[in-house]
Amino acid sequence: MSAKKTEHIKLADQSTDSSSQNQVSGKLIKKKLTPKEWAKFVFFLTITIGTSLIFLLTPTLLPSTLISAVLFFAFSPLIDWFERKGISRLNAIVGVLIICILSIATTVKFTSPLINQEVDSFHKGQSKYIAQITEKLRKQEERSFGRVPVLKNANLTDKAIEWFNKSGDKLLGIIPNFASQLFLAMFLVPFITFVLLKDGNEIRRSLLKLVPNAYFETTYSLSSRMLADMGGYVSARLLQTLLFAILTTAGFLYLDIPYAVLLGIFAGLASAIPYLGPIIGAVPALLLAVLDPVIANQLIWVSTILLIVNVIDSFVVFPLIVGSIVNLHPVLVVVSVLLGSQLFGVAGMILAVPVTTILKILISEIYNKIYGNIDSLQ
Amino acid sequence: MKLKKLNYLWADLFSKRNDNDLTLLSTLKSNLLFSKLKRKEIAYVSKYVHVRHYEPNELIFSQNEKGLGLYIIVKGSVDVKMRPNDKTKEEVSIQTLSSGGFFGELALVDEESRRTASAYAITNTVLIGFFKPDLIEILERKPETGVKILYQLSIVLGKRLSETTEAYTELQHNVNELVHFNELKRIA
Repeated sequence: MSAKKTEHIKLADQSTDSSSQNQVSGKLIKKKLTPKEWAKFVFFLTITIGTSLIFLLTPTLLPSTLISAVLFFAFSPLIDWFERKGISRLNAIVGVLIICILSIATTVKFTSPLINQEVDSFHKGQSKYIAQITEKLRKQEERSFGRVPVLKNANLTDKAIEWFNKSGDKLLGIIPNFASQLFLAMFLVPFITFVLLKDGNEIRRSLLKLVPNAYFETTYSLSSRMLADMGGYVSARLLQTLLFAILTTAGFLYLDIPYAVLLGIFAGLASAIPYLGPIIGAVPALLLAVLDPVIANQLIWVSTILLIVNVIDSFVVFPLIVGSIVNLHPVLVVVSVLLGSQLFGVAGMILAVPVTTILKILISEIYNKIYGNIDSLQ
Repeated sequence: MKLKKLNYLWADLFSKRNDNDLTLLSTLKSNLLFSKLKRKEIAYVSKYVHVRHYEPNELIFSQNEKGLGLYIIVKGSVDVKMRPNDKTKEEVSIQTLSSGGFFGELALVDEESRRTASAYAITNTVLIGFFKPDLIEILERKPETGVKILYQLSIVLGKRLSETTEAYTELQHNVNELVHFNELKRIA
């Protein structure tokens, strides 16, 4: 007992000398960065920000990187499951990617005739729809002359048609670029997804080696939380989008609506945009129901299908699958989506929630740090 | 006496001391937490740990800070210090750990764990960090390896608890004796 006590006192004396260089602030002791640690920190920031900027600012890399990131989050739980069953990670990744590529190829092979048929049919009906829209617009314009005579010289219908034509030309101009992007993505996406699934962990650990000791635990904890939240969110969103597309397509096929598959896929993809997505996704189907004389009497049924799918999505699918993972205030979601659309268009709208989730984790960590210190000072 | 009680939370009860510098794999293998793992499993775990280098007197973590996991000393030595109470700003050393020793394991299982002491590198020190996200990832990918680590961790925590309980009982006994002695003295 006395020997141990002597040892403690001795250690205590030594510790006073060694601790003198660290200032005590409240309950927590501030960690100081040595010049070497500062250099590591600057290097870490340069590498992280530099790599992110390369991927974000290179238009040819951005779509493939984003799709690969989504696939990485979607496949990670599956690869982990295979690893748990005793299959090596490499074999599991190769197997899953091959199955995925074969599934896409098979789906394209079997659904392309149907989609092609719908696209061809839409292409043929395009001039008919434009003529109908022009006619309806002209009638509306002529009716408004009596109330607003100034509109007589405005030629609103001609201007609207001109805008439609220009937009169509622009869209046609994008197609070659889109085709080349698609071609590039066919090679890049499997490659980047493979690298992320196989070596993502090592890449993260190599980057973390550059984080100074003082910030290491916080950075590691934050990055782990962000990855876990993103993984959950992406998987949940993919499932929700898929269910939305399946339900809408099934409903439209049941009503025998033309282009049911195209409209269903579009509505599903659009539903990935929080709050505004269902409205955007409903527009083509509703427009078609208004313009197409074949299904003109089915406008009420198209609206009902869209309403039912949205109710199922909003009250069952979203709260059960997505809502439990991302706990953001609805106002915050709407503001972030609008801000995202202003800054980065459609991609910004889709990425708004994950980015806001990351920011929320960062802000809550900083908040906890500040309040932790304040608490400790009391 | 108070220092002795606290000491059991941080005492180096498990290290197999080795004067030679240990490599990453042998350090892991010689550590109680990973001692039941096969060579292949040790190699697997080594991909999840973090090797960190500290300079003399560098703070590893501070008391009351949120902890993420444990550290194993590969090379060098670590001073574990604490402030006995909130009013005192001065830290008191309660334990010195050397290569093979480990500390901070409570943070691996405690959800809101705060460090109960501060740790400083005494000399140039190399540590292996093994944190909660690493343990969770191993449990998700290789549950049988994760369970072995968890079992060993429960042994470590059980041992710490048993030593603390023993020290607390001894302290309680001494306090009772002192109270009894004072009462006798007052009566006399």
